[in-house]
Amino acid sequence: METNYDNELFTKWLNEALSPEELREFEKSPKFSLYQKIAQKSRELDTPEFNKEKVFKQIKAQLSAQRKPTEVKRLFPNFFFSTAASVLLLIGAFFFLNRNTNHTTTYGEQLTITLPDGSEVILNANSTLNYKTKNWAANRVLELNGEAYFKVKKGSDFVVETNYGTVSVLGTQFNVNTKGAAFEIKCFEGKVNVKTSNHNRILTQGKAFRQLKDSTVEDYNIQETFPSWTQGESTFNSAPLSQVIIALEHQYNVKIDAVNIDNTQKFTGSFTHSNLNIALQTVFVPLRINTSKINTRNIVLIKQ
Amino acid sequence: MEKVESVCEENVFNSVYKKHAKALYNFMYYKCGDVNKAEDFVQESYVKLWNNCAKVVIEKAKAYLFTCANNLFLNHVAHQKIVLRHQKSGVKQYTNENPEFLLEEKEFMAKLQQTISELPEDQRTIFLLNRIDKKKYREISEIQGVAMKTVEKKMSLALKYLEKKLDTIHKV
Repeated sequence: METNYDNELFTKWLNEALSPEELREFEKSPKFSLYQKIAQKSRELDTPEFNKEKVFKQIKAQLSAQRKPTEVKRLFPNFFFSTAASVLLLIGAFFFLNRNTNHTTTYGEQLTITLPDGSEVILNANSTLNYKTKNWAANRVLELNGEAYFKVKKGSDFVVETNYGTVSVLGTQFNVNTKGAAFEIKCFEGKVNVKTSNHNRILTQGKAFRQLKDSTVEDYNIQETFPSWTQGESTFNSAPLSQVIIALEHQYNVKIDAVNIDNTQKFTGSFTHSNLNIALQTVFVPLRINTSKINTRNIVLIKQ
Repeated sequence: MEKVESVCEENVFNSVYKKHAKALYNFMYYKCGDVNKAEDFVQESYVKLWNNCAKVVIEKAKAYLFTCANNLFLNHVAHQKIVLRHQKSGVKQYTNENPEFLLEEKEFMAKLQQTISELPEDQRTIFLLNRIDKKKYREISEIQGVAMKTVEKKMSLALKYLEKKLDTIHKV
């Protein structure tokens, strides 16, 4: 223990950090003379002469001898890459932000689309829908070709543009059909404003509007609360037969030859989307029209 | 704004050399015990300082030099066995001592040098920085970049070893 304490004092002593009492105690140590001698003698040690000037000259010589690193001339200046990158980024952003979102369905296909604001669109067979995702919330404009059912969330004007006219709304559910012979809007909830070149209608819940190819216009009421086609059925309400035929063609990807029959007669009813034969029967048997299949793609209608 | 002195300016670099070269040299000498190696390390460290002058602020120049030298030392000779041959100087002329005493003194000195060279490198460096460069433990801890407690502990170990080895040769 004592040697440990002595060692501690010795360590402190060499740091000249002993208090007067500690120093007195340390001097009493039996090994004090040895400690003293170690301290003295080690202090007499010296480092060899350091030739400052010589080493300094060597440093200078080495520094001047250092080859200047070859300057690398850049093939492209640094800013070139940053410029190129930002230009690319801008172009990319432009395309990204301006890109048109495009949804297309083919024969017999249906597609449910959720728009950026949460509104929902169900696209019926053989239809296309285009819209811009950029700034969607403030600019809800869609282009429709075909038939679609819209469930619109409340927000800014929601506009559906078609070849026949535009439909604009505020939070509602409605169906737009531009297929074939007619431009047909059914409003299931809320209010819809329909504008064609000649007509301007405001449809409320349960109202429907139809403009035929020959510009005759019909306003009528509907009972259903959602379009039946979203549930695997197409429903018609005093619709011209030509429209039903077009719907059949789009649903089943067939060609229906109707030259031998009167396709302006009205049809009320529905046909299924699951079976062509049953669909043909449900439509044409009540109208006393025979169907004959030439092949899987072509059907001819003949009057009974 | 006050102009900051840069090590890149030649006169600043020169003054840094004048200020720290000797201390750095001693430090390296305690570590490796080789005059030429110590000189080489000093030279290399200053060359490094000059090449990196833009990155080193003047306040950090000393620490940079010591760290550099220490790294060079570790890279080159840490693994080698070191034999110290310290030179004597300033030895008192014991004109009034009898030859036996002189012989004993000589013997003690030789044993002391040998024991110092037997010390582990870090303990030896600390001991000699204290004894020859008269540095306080606080300063040594700054140079070494370790805690003051570590310096005290290593010093204590070194002293224990010296005490043990020199006890036999020391006559009261």
